[in-house]
Amino acid sequence: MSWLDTATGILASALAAMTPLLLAAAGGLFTELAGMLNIALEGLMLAGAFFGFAAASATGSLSLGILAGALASSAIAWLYGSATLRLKANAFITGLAANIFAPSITAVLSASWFGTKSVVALPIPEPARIFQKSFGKLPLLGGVLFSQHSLSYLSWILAAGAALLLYRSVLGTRIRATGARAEAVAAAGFKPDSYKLAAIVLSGFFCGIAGASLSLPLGAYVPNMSSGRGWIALVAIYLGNRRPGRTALACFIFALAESFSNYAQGQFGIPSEFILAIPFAVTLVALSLGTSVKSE
Amino acid sequence: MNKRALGDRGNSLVFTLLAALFSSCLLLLFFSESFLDSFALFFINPLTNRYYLGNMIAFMVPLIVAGLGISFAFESHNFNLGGEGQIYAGSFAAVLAALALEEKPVLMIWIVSFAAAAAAGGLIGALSGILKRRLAVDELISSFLVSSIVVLLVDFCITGPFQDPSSNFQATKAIPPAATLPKLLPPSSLSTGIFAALLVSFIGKFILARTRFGFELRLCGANKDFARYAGIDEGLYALVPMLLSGALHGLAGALMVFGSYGRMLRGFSSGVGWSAIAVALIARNNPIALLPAAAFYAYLDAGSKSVMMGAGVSPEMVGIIQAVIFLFITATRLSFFRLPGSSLRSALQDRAADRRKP
Amino acid sequence: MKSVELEDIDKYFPSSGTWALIQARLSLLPGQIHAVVGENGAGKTTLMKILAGLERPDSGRILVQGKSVKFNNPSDAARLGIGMVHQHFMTIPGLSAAENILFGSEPRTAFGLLDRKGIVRSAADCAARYGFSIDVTRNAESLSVGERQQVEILGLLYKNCDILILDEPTSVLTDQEIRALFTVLKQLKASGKTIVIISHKVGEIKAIADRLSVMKDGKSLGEFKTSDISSHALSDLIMGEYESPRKKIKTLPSGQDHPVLELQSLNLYGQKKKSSALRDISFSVNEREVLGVCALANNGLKEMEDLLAGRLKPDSGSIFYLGKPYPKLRKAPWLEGGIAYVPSDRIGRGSCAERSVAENIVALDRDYFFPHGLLDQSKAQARTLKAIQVLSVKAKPESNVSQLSGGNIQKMILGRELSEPPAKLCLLCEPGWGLDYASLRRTYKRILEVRNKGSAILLLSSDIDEVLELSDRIAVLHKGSLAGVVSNGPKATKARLGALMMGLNSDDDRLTPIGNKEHE
Repeated sequence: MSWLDTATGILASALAAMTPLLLAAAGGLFTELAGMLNIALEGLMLAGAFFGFAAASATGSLSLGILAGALASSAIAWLYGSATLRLKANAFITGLAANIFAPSITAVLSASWFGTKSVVALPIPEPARIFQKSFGKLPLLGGVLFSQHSLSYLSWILAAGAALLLYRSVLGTRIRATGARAEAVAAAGFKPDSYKLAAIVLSGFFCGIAGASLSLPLGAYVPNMSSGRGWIALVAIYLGNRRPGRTALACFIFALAESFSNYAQGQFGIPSEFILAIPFAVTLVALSLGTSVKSE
Repeated sequence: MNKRALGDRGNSLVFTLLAALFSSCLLLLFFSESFLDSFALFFINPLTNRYYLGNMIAFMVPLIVAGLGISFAFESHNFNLGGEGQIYAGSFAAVLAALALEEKPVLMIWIVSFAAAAAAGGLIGALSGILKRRLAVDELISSFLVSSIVVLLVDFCITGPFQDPSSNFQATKAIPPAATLPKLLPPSSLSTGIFAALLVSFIGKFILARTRFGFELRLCGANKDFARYAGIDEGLYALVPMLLSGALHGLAGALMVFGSYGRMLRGFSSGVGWSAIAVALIARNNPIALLPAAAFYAYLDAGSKSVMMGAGVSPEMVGIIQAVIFLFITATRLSFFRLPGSSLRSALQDRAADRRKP
Repeated sequence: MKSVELEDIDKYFPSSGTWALIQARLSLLPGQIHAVVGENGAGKTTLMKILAGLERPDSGRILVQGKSVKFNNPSDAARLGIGMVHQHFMTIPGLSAAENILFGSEPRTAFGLLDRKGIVRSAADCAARYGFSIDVTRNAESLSVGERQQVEILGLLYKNCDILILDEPTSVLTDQEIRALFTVLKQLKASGKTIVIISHKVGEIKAIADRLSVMKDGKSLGEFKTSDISSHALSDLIMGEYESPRKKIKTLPSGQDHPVLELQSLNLYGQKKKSSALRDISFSVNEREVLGVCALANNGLKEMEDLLAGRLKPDSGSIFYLGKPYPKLRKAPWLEGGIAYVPSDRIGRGSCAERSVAENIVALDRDYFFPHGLLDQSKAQARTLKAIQVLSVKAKPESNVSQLSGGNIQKMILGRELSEPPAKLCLLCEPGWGLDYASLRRTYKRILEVRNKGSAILLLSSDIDEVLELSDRIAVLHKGSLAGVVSNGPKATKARLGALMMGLNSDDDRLTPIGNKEHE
């Protein structure tokens, strides 16, 4: 393999790895801009991965799987949001609750539905690679861009949709206004809490799809398969200064790191623990550098 | 970022505990064949069965010690989410020290091992503190990231270079049997470690309530601007509580190894860090209240273990209960939906207001 | 054209245990400018919040056009044409001026998307109709305070409000902006709008209002035609008889040759180093002297406080305390005559709401209260009671500061900082802020007592009256430079200080900064 093939290979798998990150970050943007710290992204993703996979395997339909993942995750987000807003509980602690709830409920249900608490692999349809035949053979970037599976393209559309919703819609304007100046929203006769709740549920929706985009292409549900991506998405938003474009860029950089470390593992036989640790390390370094640059 | 109001007092505690018990019943109802049998296994067995009772009290040890670590961090408004890694690294350091000192006197092994555990946990906690102080990196995220890395690295060590070659377990060699803490209720894993935990919580209470260090720490947690205005070095209180918190987590890990396990098993302490957060929250960061909070939490844990053995219910159930606790523990308002009674209550308040009218 | 009546409004705040309103009443005539006057804490804002639907009365009636109405939220009030511009403006950063003006009733296209062109057009139309000259496409963060106020007023006008309530609209404006605002208000009145202004500034009320109602301690004292009541009578009504504490306390001569605090050619650059926030500031404060520094908002007062509190570092120049480099605040022993500091931000900086009064006092001198690192409770108790008594704070040592009213918190801070033995240097920022008249008098008296005991007092205040009341010498800041330092005497008139604050001094009037060095 020439270095060029290696590079395009890494790039293509980076775009695939970016899919869940991008979706989770899009979801996290809603809550960030609504003025809340949403640490539940991780748990919401995991719920989306499990319920998305379960529904897809039961119905044999990818679309229904995605939808189920999104709805289940939205429901958990609603519960978490309601506790936070209606009971005026601490958002950080209720976020932990969601993060603990997701792996537990999925384990309990997995045991009861699939008879195992570890990896569940069942035949489900593979996501289509829509452009493979016509454009997949294009040289260089063409190959990279057009070799992705349909969920990746869906994630790009959804991320753009999230940005549109936030900046060009009435709902998005209200959500941003709530984050910027909740008392002004209240003075204008609206309930800031309902916009916060909407933001949380929307973040659940996007995280659910993000989770489904982990389990569906793999054709399996692996316990704890979100493996820190929710946190990484949170850092991406933070480094992206809560702007959609820059957040997406940050997601791409993290995905690139992930894909590179996967390549490195195959190449140099590094123990899997180190490979798993690399995304955390990259995120930590990026967070430290990004914060110190920002504060200057 | 809104990380305020951790100390807010609602009278939500009773409600939270009831919700936890209620959800436990609900889960038993759903996931066990015979509700009554599992109910007895869950709620009664841990108190009457010597083995479960001992294990339950043994589980209180890390909960109290790590819970105190969380209390120190939260009281100073430092959000240590790295407990998992700190406990794991602390116990690993303790085991390494104990294995290195195999032939030495027991007292020396204890001192060196516990010091090593505290140092390992403390260093990991301090790293987030340093990042916060030097680079203004949010300790909430950084402590979680560091801990995730640490857990993976320790996993590598346990299953790689330090694995016990004579065993099939993913575990280190056992520490010298003489160095394990004396057992109290055999065959359970309860040891004299519980006395250490009690001592630690009383010392913690004294530090927070009576000393200048505790006062300054709590003031930094309550209002940074005011603390700075009062001339307190807030940078110091971004670092020291994280260090202390990490050290206590490390100590908790070491107490688990020396009191119960006798060796490092892969993932043996998984979840204790999160549980310690729950315990500290139930106790509202009060070191003395950690004791009943840990007892309650350990009771739920013992119940779910007992029901798992007896009725085949998944032990992850305890995670769901933990989530329920987290969901409600900081609630400052009790009605999830507006209850019909609330109009009555406000009418009563109006009446009361009338009487106070000048 | 609507008439509005508020009848016998009661409002009790359980959290602070106070009756904000007791049988308060108000009637508004259409097409007039109506002032609601009274001192801080008289209940003006609460009454107006009830009219705007932001608070609900415990009892009483609101009549619009003679019909009794109930407001559950601001939208209910807005539907009847009643809207309020708050003292702290509610402009939303991140949105444009136009989006702010139309917030809540934005025109939209398909799928709930914003009609961005329509928003700008409607907002610009609205501004043009009422004669506002504001670029509605600008971002809210980039607007000046006056422009933000315009955005808020436009927001109400766009919603067709014909009763506009303005809470202390002039408190944050420069003189020019106040004049512009008054022109706008008169135009609005001419176009048939009813305007309510909450204020405690007699001059303004006389200049703009047709009618006024006076409130005191939550009760209505009566309604008057502005032309029927003299300024003097009005200020008597608002504040009661006025007595200057300075006249009652004999001030000892100040120790001119004993500078306690010296500032030498201090420079501080603004953000991005393009402007300078403070330019070449030199002055000194002597023993037994009050130096008042006054300025309008955004002219360097805030920066000077931050410099002396150690939150900002000067870009050049130096500060000396008793001839030595200025220490880090609170690092110097406090009780043995260190530096006392009353910050302008009393809730965030000066006190800790989540802690008890006692802890708020203990916090300031931990060396004293924690001998050998352990709390000495009897010392803490004794000091707390003493600090509370200085200005008679209505609270127990163990009560939580969050339960105290704003005025009581300020008194607690003042009592803590001004208790015996007095500090060598007192840095007092807006000490009278939020105090009722009786407390104000007691506070001023205490400040002068502390001065007579030998303290050097640096008073930073935007209130000319306060500065004239307390100071031996007065320094005026304008755009970060020292516009002049004058001795307090017959020549230091309000008009002259006002002119200096606005940068209107002629050359011969300009005084070079008086440092001690120049006396020698």
